[in-house]
Amino acid sequence: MNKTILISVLIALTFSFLIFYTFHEFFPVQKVSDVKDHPFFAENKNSDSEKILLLGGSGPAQLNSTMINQLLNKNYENHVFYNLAYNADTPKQRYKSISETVMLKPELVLYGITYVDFNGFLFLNTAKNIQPLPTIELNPAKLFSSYDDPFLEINPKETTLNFIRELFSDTDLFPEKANRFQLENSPFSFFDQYQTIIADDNDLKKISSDQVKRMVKQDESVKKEQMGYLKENIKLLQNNDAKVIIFILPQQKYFFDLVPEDDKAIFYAGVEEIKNELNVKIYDLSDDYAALNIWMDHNHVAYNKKSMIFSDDIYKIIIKEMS
Amino acid sequence: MLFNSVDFLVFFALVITISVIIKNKNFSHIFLVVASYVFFYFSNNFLISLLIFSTMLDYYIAKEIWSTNSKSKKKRLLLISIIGNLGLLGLFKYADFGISQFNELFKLIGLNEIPLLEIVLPVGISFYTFQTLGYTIDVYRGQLAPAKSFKEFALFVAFFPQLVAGPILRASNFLPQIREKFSHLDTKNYLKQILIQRTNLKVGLTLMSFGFFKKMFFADNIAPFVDEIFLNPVGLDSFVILLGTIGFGIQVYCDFSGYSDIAIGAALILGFKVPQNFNFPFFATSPTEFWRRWHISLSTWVRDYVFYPMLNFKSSKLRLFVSVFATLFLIGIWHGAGWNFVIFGIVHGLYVGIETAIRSIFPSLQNNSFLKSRFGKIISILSTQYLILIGFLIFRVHNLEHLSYSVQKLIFIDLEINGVSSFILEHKFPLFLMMLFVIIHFISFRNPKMLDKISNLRLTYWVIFLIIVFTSIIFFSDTNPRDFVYFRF
Repeated sequence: MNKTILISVLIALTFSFLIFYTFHEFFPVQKVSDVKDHPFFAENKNSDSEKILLLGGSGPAQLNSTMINQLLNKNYENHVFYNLAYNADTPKQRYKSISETVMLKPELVLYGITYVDFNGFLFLNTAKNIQPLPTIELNPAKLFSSYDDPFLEINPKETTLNFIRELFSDTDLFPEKANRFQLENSPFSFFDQYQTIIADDNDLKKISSDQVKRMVKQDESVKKEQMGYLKENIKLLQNNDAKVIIFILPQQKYFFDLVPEDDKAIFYAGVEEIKNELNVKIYDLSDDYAALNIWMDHNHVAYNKKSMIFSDDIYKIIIKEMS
Repeated sequence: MLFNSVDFLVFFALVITISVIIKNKNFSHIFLVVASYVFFYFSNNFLISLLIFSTMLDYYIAKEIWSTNSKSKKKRLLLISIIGNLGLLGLFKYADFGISQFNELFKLIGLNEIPLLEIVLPVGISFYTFQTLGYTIDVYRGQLAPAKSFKEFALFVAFFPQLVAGPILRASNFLPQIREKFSHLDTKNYLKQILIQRTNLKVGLTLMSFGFFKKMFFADNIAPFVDEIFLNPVGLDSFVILLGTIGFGIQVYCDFSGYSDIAIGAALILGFKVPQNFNFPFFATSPTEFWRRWHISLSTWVRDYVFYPMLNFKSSKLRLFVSVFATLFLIGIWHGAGWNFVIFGIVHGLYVGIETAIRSIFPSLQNNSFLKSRFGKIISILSTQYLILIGFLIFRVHNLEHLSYSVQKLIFIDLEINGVSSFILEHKFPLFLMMLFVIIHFISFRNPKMLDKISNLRLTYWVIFLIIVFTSIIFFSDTNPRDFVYFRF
């Protein structure tokens, strides 16, 4: 009789997973299958204009690409600037769309990196913005893997909630997020209201050294892997006549001051290695705006007219590299 | 090792399988002890040494207490046990808080700060130290004979279903169960293996599924909503803070009672009865009754080992009030090292103390017809839960500035309704879950035998019940398992 009960539990578990599997197969969530499949690449691959591209994660995604592009056009008419940064990007993620990026034949590529590119921290966090997500293969073995590539991670809750939203999309029950906007020259990222707000200094002070340590801890194995992909990305771009420069992303003062010295040393050793091996120029912006009141949070400059200094400096770097 | 993880499911399946296979009782017993230590090691690594230390300390002290006739020697040994256990707890849990407070003082008077120890808090330390201390006190009082063997005591302390977050077991309840299972006195039963009884299996599995449902469907999905509100509540309206507080109450209840259900269910499958830890606390009609329904194993422990010893039959009303206050204050600070927990303890101490004082001054309230009426009970429940909500807020918000703002907003309710509809629209899912919880919880309250009814369903219907539970969990699981809230204590 105990065997019957245990078999019943197994049947119930199997049935439940099968229901979810079937649901997932018939109601796939994502509209855009992958960054590499984003229509941006197809639309711009054959355009005549010279392209300046920026790659990176959520930090550089906050840049005012419209402003940079307008300034650039004043001096270089046939040039266009695109910010291809998106939340939770890492060198390994970027590698998946590097061929498509190369096909755009950029003249200059600015690559923004920071500590989280070389540790596993990003894998523990999901982005707030909706990003074009790859098709998720329903691999039962990966169903509960938590610390793998976030774009291959299945999140049943998101799948279910997205299905419900789609089901009621014709009603007002699930309105689109109000006030969300996108910049024309930033095809892979969006801005929500909170990203335009400059945080209060008292709130920014409340970060603890433990939180910073957790975010910047340089994991050797992850670093080795990510550095490998970063070098590959850079080489592929350079082999296709793109000039690549790296800029280290800025941090807010209270965060910057708490970064442990050993993690800093490991990170900069990696940067130095790339500089020497691939002859890449490095711009270190890490403490350029640390004390300024322009921050949305400790690692992201707000998208706000009072905080355009970051975008302005990126423009100046572009001009300098092109002259 | 979290209960809500594949690791635990595999571990538990292995433990049951091996327990059934092993035919030798002695090995079964040792296997359970080893399995419990493995489980603990997964959660705590080398800090398992603290568990072993606590186990050995109280095992040998209790033996000595029992064997000596000298009252003063008994007292000294008891004192060693108390210092040992509470010292361990104090060091790992409260040392850094104490040092940081001294440092604040030193800053004011211009002295150098003492560096923090930055010790990691071992999971479960607040539970097993109380468990072993309770055992020693029972032996000291002559109410319990000490454990017959070290392995018997080790299993009592380390029994994995309840090890890291309770319920806090009483030796007087658990040791006889261990003896009944593993005693060698009856040689005919020497080779009797652990039997997984059919009823225990079905009830245990049903209870475990209740627990997983509460934790993974309700608690984990309401948590982000609560976190969002209390990340920085300054500037939010009363309505939002009230919803956040209710959400937190539901979250911590589902989290903790869910864990307890899993622990009790797992223990039942292995043939052990572990006492209930929650009894519909949201239907308590007074703060005292709340503590008889919430975290019952802790409140009864503190009652038996702190409150009663503080009283005697000549106790005055003042002494009664002070004893009640001190007991609840201790419960408050047991939860953690922080000023919010101190305030939590003070607030609940005042609640229960004032209630006790009122009852003793106005004994006729006991038979008041209004309070006994249905409407009176509803009013009592609502007013009690309002007070409890303020307590939950104090429990949740550690930053004193945020706490002060939030409590003011709960007490002096603003009637801002401007952002209400957009807030509700933006948080449909967690608010829906909270409403669903209230409905299910009310139905369960009105049907106290629901566990038995579901466990006794015909197999087909029971499987359908399990499919509904598992499917709900899978469809709304967030993949990254969240810790149990009470692991922090």
